[in-house]
Amino acid sequence: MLNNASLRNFGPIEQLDWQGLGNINLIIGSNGCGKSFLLKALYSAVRTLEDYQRGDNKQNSAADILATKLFWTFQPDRRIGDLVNKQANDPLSLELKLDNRVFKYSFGKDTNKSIASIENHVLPRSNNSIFLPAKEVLSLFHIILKSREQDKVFGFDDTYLDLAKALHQSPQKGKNFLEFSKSRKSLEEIIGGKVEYDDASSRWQFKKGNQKFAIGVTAEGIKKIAILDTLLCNRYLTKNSIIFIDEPESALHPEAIAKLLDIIVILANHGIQFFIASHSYFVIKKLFLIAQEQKLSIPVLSYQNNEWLKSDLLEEMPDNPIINESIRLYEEEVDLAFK
Amino acid sequence: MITHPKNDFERMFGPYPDGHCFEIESSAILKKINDKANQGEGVKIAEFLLLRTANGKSSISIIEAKSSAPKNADEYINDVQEKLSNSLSLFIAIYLQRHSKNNSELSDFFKQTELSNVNFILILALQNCEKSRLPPLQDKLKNALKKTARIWNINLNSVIVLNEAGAKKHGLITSITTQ
Repeated sequence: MLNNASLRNFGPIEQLDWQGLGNINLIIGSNGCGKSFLLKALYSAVRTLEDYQRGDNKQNSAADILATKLFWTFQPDRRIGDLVNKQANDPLSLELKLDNRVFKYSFGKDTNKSIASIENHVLPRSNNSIFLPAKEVLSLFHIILKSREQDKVFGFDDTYLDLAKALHQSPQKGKNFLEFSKSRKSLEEIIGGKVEYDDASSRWQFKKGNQKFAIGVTAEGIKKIAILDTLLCNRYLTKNSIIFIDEPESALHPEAIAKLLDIIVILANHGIQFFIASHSYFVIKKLFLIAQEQKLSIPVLSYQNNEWLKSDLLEEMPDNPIINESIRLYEEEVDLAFK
Repeated sequence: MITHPKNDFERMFGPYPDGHCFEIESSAILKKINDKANQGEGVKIAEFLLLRTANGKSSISIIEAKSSAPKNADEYINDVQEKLSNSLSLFIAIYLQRHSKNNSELSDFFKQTELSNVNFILILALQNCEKSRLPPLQDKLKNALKKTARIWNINLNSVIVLNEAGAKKHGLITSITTQ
C-alpha cells in the first residue's frame, strides 16, 4: 500500500506532504483545486512501478515508463515539463513510499521526455491498480481503444485507456476471494443485474434477469457500478491493488453512493487501498459514519484557503466548504422560518 | 426566564414580554388530563409557546428544549414530534375553549390572536449540539412532522432545530447565561 506521498510544484499543487495513509483515503475540495490532478499523479507513479520489470519486457527503464505514463495521463500541450507549476522556479518532484519503500523523481520545466532524476527502491509488483474516472467508459469503450491504440491522439487520457483495457480482460472462472464474491453480489444487487461483454456483437450489454439491454441505453450509474463489478470478476483487481476513484458520486443516487461505499469498506478491509476524490456531502458523511462505527482511520486531505489540510474522519468531520455549505443552507432555512 | 424550568437550559429561555409565553407543560389543563391517565400513558408535551409579532405578522413558536443531542435519533425525533404535535393540538383545543369556557390560562394576547393565519413555528432547541449535526436532525424532524404540517397547513420551513447559539440569535434566549 501507499504509505505516504509528497509533491512539490506538481501542476496546481505547490506543496503537499501526506503521511500516514490508510486503506481508504479521501480528498475533498472545490472544483479546480487539484483533487483529480493529485489522484492522477499518484496513479501514474503506481502504474509505473507496476509496469516496470513486468513479464519479459525488461528493457524499458522506470524513467521511460514514467515519462510515457505522465505524458499520456496528463496530456500536456508540448512536453511533460509543462506539468511543472507555472509560478515555480524549482523543479516538480514527487516522492512516495509504497510498501515502505521509496520511489521518487523530479524534473524541470524544460524536460521533454527524459526524466533524469529518479530513484526507485520499490520491489516489482504483480498487482494491478486502476483509476475510475468520473465518467463511465463502457459506452465509449471502442472509441477509447481506437483513438488511443490506432489513432494515438489526445482526448482520452491513460486513466480511460487503462480502464478500457482492464475491462477487456476475459472473466475468469473458479474461486474468487470470498470477500470479492460477496462484494460482487452486493454490487449486482444495487444495479439489479450485471454487465457483460458480448463477443458476438463486440458490445457491452446490461443483463437483468433474462432481458438484455444495449449499453447505450443503460443508466450512467449502473455502468459505473458495473465497471467495479467487472474488474473484480475478471481478477484484474487483487488484494493489494490500489483503486483511485474520481467523484464516485457522479451519476449515482445518494442511496447507491452509500451502498457503494459500504462495499469499498469491505474491499479495503481485505487489502485493496482506495483514494477517493469527492465534493459530495453524502460521500464525506457516509465515510465519517463508517469511520465512527468501525473505529476506522480514514485520512482526509482537504483544500481550503490555498492550503492542503490533513485530518481523519475517525476524529472529526473536516472543516470544509462542502460541509459548510450544508450548514449555510440550514441557516438560510432557519432564517426563512423567522422572517 | 420561564417560570417552571426543569433544568439549566430551560432556565436560559426568556425573559419574554408579559402574556406572550404560555407554559403549556406546567398548565393546569395538562395536569388535569394527565391525572386521569395511567402511569406512562399521559400526554407528552413541549415546554412552552411563544407569541411574537414581526413585520406586522404574528407567529406562535412551540418550543421543545433538550439539554443534549440524541444518541438514538429515530426514537428521539419520534418523541419530539409527538410533543410538538400534541402541544399544537392542545393549545388549539384550549383556545377553542374545549376544556373550559373562559380558557383562563391563556393571556389576552393569545386569546386575541387570530389563529387562522398565524404562523406556527415548531422548534426543537438543543443545548449541546455542534452546528454540523443540526441540518440532518432538522431534515429528520421535518419528515416526522410532515403529516401534522399538512393537517394544519403549516409550511415545513417552519419546522426547525436550533442549538443554544441559534436560540440566542433568534431571540429565544435573551438573558445572560446562568452558571
